[in-house]
Amino acid sequence: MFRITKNILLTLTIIITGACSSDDDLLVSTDGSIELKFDNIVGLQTSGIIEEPLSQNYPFETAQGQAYNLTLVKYIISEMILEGPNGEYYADSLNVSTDFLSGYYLINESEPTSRNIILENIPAGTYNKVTFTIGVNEEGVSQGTGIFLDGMFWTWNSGYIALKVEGQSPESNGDSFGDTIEESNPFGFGYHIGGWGSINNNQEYRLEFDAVEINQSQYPGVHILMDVGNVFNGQNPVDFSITNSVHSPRTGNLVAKNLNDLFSIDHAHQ
Amino acid sequence: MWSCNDFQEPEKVVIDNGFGFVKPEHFPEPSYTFSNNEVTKEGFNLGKALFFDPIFSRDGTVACSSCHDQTVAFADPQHRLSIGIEDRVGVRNAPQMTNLAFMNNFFWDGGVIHVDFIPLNAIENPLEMDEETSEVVVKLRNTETYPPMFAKAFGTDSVSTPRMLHALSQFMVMLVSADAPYDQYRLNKAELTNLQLQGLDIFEEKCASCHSGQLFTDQSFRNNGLDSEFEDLGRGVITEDENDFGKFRVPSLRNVMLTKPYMHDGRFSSIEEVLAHYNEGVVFSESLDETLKGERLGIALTDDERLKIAAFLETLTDTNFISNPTFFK
Repeated sequence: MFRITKNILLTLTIIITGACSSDDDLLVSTDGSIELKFDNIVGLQTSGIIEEPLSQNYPFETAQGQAYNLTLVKYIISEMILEGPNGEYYADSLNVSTDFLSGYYLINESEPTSRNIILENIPAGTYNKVTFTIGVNEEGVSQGTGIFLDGMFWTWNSGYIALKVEGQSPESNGDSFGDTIEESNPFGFGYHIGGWGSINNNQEYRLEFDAVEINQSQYPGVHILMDVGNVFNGQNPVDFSITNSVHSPRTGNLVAKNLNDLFSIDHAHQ
Repeated sequence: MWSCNDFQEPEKVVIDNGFGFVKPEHFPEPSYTFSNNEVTKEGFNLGKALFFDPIFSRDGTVACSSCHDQTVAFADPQHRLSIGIEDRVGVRNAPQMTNLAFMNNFFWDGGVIHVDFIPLNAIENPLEMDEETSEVVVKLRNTETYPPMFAKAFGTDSVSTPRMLHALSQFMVMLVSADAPYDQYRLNKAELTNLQLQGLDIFEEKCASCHSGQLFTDQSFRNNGLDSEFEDLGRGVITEDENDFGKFRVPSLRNVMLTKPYMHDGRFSSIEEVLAHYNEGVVFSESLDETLKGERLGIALTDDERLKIAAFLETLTDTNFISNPTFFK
């Protein structure tokens, strides 16, 4: 009896949806989920990269040979897209309202749960590419309030700060500032990279990983590495004795050019 | 039996309580995002209460209304430069707050591009309210009056930054000034005097390339020749581009006769001084506006023309707006 009822319902569903939509996927939900884990590292050190403010321990060194530590690593991820080899495509929807936010993620190295982004309702299939942006582009800014205003926003020059990296270096001349750095800190540095307008420091990344299956019963994970050390190396190597305080789109633009290789894939697992 | 059209959503029942944002018929489309923040009576009332409350400032002494007074179209009635907590003197003159729903950028340097973000600038500026936004939210939570007002406006008594800013926006976007004698003339409801009409002609010829349209601003940034060297970089602070040094937002001239003093630093105390500046006071600098360059700098205006322009500008004073009890505390 139960089976008959179920079949009738199923048939009705076919008639209704079949008549109005050509999308057969509506018939049976085969959506799945995936977890993207952001591991913030410095070179070979893959965990515990944050020191207490005022710590005199400098575990890291730039390519220029300057010692430093990190007291804060925070960034915004948005515009996530998943793609697969057979035309699979999923774009995380961006939505900003008074009480609801989707498609924007704040990752804070000091808050472990923030480092995992779970994307849901992804059409079943094979996926091997992820695209995302660090920062918030005009589409998000122009929607007004709703996204991480506390701490990741320039009030005087409306726009979100894409990336905050703060710490200390014995080479720094102090007088910088940030969430964890006071101007009185003689060794502090603060790099707040933002800007979405005429100077746009938001960057898009496209990474490929070993193909995984997403469906109702398989819930894969992709581990993404963010090497904070790259912020100071690359095209415009940072000298802490010259540049230790970056708080505007133009000054951030030089540092932003270092961010091309900020992210890489560690591994993907089924 | 069933067609696809049968599956349409039932029409939403719209309760018309006579309250909400209405675009004046002769105005452009608003730029504000009503799609995620529709104006309701309850949200507006909450925003109004917040507007008048000094709880936003660190020491509880300065409210939004301290520098934005309805009797002068929500400009500052008495100070050349904004006065913040502990009598701290700001760097610019507080602009009027009308027709914000139609604007694309705000403040003299246009650093703020959405109405929702306007309060953040004043709250966190050390020379104004010198408070952290997150701290304001905590203070509001701990009051007896605000959580029930948030409940009425947003369906929950939980105070959050987005809800607070959306309520303030609901108040701000309702500050529409579109009922001055000029508007009544535009809409064929009233006549202007001959003197005013002659002033309008001169205004359109000599002023309206920047102070254009029904908002009386093209919302651009221009250097109008106040200084040859800049103490305040203006738009250049935001773009960090030397081509923008010394440029400021073209202000709306609606209610301009009420909003003295004039210019970003309030250096002129009367319209006569402003018109005299354009006639004979413009000084050269690299970023000086093209419309003010030429054989002689500035805009040639005879005494008679200045008189008539001033007579026309009087027609932009919207007494119905500045006396509208909807906005009273």
